[in-house]
Amino acid sequence: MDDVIEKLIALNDIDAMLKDAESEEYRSLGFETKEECIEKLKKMREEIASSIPRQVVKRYEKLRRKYGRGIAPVVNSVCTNCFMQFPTEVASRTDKNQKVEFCPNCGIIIYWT
Amino acid sequence: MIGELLKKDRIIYNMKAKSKDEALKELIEPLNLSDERRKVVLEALRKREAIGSTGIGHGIAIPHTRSVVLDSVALVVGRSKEGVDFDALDGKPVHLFFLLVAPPNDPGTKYLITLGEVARMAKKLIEKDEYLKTADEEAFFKLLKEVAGEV
Ligand SMILES: [Zn+2]
Repeated sequence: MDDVIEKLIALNDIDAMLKDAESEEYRSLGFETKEECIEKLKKMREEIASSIPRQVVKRYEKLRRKYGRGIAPVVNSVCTNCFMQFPTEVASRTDKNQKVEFCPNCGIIIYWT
Repeated sequence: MIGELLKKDRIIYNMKAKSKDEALKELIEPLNLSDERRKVVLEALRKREAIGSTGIGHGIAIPHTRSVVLDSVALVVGRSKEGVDFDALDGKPVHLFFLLVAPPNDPGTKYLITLGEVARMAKKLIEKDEYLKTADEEAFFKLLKEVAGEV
């Protein structure tokens, strides 16, 4: 897997975690979340973000504002952000996840599962 | 929902793990992920534990995370007779694990609803106080199914 894609996944996984940790619904489940540890995680997030090429992070943040996430898995040849089906010749490529790619329909960064 | 997620091949009747990290590693084994994806999921679970233990007390832990590398919601149930030190809220060793993992954009808040169901199921199992006393794997699975039907 491409190093930048790996970092974008880590970024998105942290963002989903932080979003959950701050939601009422999640808090009502009674899991312990320590403020100071959440702050540490936010710092870690910034460190990861700063190690990704600036243009890519910019695009990620823009997508996150638009869709609530910057990267989405492609499951069974379908983009899970916009549900567009990728053509078979694209989905059967052998060089997937080797460079940052975008969904041609919604523009989100994609990860091939 | 929760009943559908209970699968025999996702149950570890006798966990070998002695530590928190070993437990997380053992629990993701039945997901059959590639090395690349397993690494990402393990890292996400570790980060989640770092913001507060998911050991909710009474011998139960519910490690959970969402990750881009996952293509579906999955539940793994693990049982440890000896117990694992998991930094639980009450400091007690954990004997029963429910690992819940999901893709990031699981429609709506289905993931949180399922997580709530898992937590309720866990509490019911504590009340019943039978989960460490089952005769074999089959009886354990039956007990889980039964409790799942009640939440
Ligand atoms: Zn798309």
